[in-house]
Amino acid sequence: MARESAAPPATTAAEGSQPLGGAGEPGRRSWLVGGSRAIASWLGVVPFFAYASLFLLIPTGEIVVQAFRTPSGRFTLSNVAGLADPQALSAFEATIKVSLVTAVLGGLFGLFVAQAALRDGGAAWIRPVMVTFAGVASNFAGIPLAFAFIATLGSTGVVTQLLSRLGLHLYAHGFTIYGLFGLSITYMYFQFPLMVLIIAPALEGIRKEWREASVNCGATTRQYWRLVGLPILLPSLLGAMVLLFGNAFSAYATPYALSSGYINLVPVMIGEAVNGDLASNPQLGASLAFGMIVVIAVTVALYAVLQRRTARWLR
Amino acid sequence: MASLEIQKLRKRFGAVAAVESLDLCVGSGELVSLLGPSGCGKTTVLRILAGFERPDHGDVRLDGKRINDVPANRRNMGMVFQAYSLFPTMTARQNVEFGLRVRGVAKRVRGDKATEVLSLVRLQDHADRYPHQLSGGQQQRVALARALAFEPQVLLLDEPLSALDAKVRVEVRQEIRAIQSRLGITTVYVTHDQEEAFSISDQVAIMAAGQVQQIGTPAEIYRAPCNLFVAEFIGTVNRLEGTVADQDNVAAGPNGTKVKIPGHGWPTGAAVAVLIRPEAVKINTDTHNGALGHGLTGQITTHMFLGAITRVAIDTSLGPLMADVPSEQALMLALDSPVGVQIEPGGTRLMAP
Amino acid sequence: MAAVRGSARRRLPFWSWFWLAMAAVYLLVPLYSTLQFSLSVGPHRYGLGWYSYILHQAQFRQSFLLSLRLAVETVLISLVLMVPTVYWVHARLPRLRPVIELISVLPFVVPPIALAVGMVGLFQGVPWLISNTHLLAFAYVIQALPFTYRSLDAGMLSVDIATLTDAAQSVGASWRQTLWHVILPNLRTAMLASAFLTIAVVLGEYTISSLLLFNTFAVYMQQVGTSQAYAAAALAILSFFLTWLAMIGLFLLSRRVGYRRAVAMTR
Repeated sequence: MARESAAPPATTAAEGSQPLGGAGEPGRRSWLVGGSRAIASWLGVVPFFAYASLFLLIPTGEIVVQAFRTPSGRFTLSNVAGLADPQALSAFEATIKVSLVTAVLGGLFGLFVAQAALRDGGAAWIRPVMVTFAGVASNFAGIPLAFAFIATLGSTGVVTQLLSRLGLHLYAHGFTIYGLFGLSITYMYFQFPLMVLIIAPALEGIRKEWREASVNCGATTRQYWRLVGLPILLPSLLGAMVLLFGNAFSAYATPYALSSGYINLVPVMIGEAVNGDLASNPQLGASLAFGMIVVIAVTVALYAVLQRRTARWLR
Repeated sequence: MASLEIQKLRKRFGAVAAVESLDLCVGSGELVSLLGPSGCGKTTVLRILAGFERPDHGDVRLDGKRINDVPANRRNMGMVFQAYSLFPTMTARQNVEFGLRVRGVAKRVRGDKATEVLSLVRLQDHADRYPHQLSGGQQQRVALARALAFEPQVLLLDEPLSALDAKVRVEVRQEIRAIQSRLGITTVYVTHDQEEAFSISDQVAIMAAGQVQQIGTPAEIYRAPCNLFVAEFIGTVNRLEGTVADQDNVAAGPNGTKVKIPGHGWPTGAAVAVLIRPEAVKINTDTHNGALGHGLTGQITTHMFLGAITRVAIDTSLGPLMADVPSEQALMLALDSPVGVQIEPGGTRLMAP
Repeated sequence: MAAVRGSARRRLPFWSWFWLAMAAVYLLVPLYSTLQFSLSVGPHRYGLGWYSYILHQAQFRQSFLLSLRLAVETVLISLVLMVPTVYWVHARLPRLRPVIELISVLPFVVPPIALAVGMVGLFQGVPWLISNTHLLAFAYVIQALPFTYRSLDAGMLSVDIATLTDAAQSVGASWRQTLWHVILPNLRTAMLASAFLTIAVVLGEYTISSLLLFNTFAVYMQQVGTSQAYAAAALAILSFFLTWLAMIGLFLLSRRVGYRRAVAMTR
């Protein structure tokens, strides 16, 4: 969920952590002999761990430390307590709301699109086109996306004016692209293609035989989906939506560009605490970041659990 | 129980003709196998019967009534697929009940029927297991139970044993046959395994290139294959090229050795293929020439131990021949030893080459 | 689906077309709107004025080149770091795979906005580092880590690392030779995939660069957006095309490299 893009984490249903056999056994694939071999093995991954520590683990640790530290360096819970402030609370509430709505709606929309593209008897050209479109969406996400939706649904936007000419005056009715609703519509742009990419392997994992067997037993299409298809798909569906939630929750560039800071979301608030108007309060930023990490860690754990259920029968 | 009739069936996929002008009759309560190599169209025929494919031409009739336009979910035919067809989120019982559930049958009635068919396949104790907790053979038995639960008029099986281990295959096929004949349900069984088809069928239809080559009881087909393809597809056979010498003899093999086939009915001088079943090649360690008829000699080149039978390869003047010999006799046949060979005319057949 | 008749199978039912059409509309309308905005040089007048305006801005060139350079650096650092690591883990330390996999998922859990907070806090006292653009590339490698790792991991799985390594060792190759001559050529697709994704990500990255006060392409775009909506639209379209150009360029380059190597091997 590091960006509001459509590039997937691409965990397939068949993935597991089975170690490949044999490496490390005496006599196999050793370029050194004796005891130094074991040390040499571990040396090979040192660069990676060093790098990850320096640029990922330690900065993360820094966040956690800062979240519990006063400016003078003593341990405190007051920063984290500050998360209960009305401003912070409303930020969390707004961010969760937008993320939830776009995760569910984007998830459903993405599911229908993916199913439409991947069904049996569908044309072969649909899949590469779909992947390309997903690439388009991922490419545009971030700053350009905000501009695109301002151009579309802003007060002088193309669609706004088109609807005006048809008699529907959006802004007169109180709609604005710069509010939570407008933000949700914007988020959908990258949420549903992400869903398409994530759910595609699960849809393809639905065996043709299940559909045919249910038809043979006398089921209609609706009965098939209700009794067979959806139950099979449910863990993957929920897992994907969880991922979408995290993706939306982490978005910074798009809401920042869209609202110039007027919409109060958690990522935007963090940005302000570091660099912006919020009286440069790094402790607040750190505790907000900490809160964010907790929220997303929970969603990733949920995703992992749901994935494991899927792997069992989409093998 | 219903009878099934296929008339002049034709189905193309793009440029490929999967089924070409096919006729087939399955009598009520019969088990007919569609047997043939991959790509011969047998699965296509089955899928057309089930309603998953539409034929380009031809009719499918159930009890005389044309069912081409009946959608697949209303044909009331139970189908067992090759593998993976059990619904993974349901227990065996729920799988079996499925056909009844979508027909709106009441819960208690469903449950009783499910128990009944699960007992038929001897899996009533596994009713609450999920498919991934069952072995391959057990899964296929549940699939069979599911296909039978809603009391279909026809049972269709698409290579149901291909994905199973050899030993399990034999057990399950016998079980399928026992249940089928006990229920008297009209059945079409698709397979590429000749032994499987022959061991359980009332009739076997040999298919190749989208057409039925021959249909008959297993014994008929084995004894009297109607063309070269069938003859060579069924079992093992020695094949020689030859010319008819006179009304009782055929000159066969590279040396034109005379083989005695009294009253074969082919005109003199005709070019024929001579087919000799391995069990008709008799080995005689008493190398007295002319002892019993033909006076062929040969040398044993290899033994292939197959259990009760040993397949022995012999170099003769007719060329290399395979003979099936009881293993006890084979023990006494040393490699490279000269032996006498007799061909039993009853196990030979002449065909157009 | 499977229950439909033979000839009707080819045509998709109504709902399929509906959803695909909706998806196409949702994705294309904003693009079109941006295009229209970018071409609006006056009331009901259209032209390329905004494009020429942008293209003449020094800041445009500077920020784009910075982002491009960062993209290339990120790809290189990523590959140099991850290819040997993933290979090593597959060939020698398969038990570590779950650990590496966990670490590769962390950038999702610690989103860029949060990570930027940590980095600012950590490197603030190191002025030469925090004002050095290379720091960004190092951060971007972490951002791209999930995708890089997955591509390479999948690529390694599809090639039988164990057997290839054994074969190479049996003819006397060192691990470096094995990696370079045997493993790498088989990983071309995976490496390309991760390179494409990385480039797309880096060219559009805003969060970390803005918080660390660097002037990357996206930061420049945001600045333009606050004052000139139409110019910003032109910039968005430009960024779109430039990113695709970079990816096509990489694609063509990879094919030339592949061809050259094939020719060299036949000598």
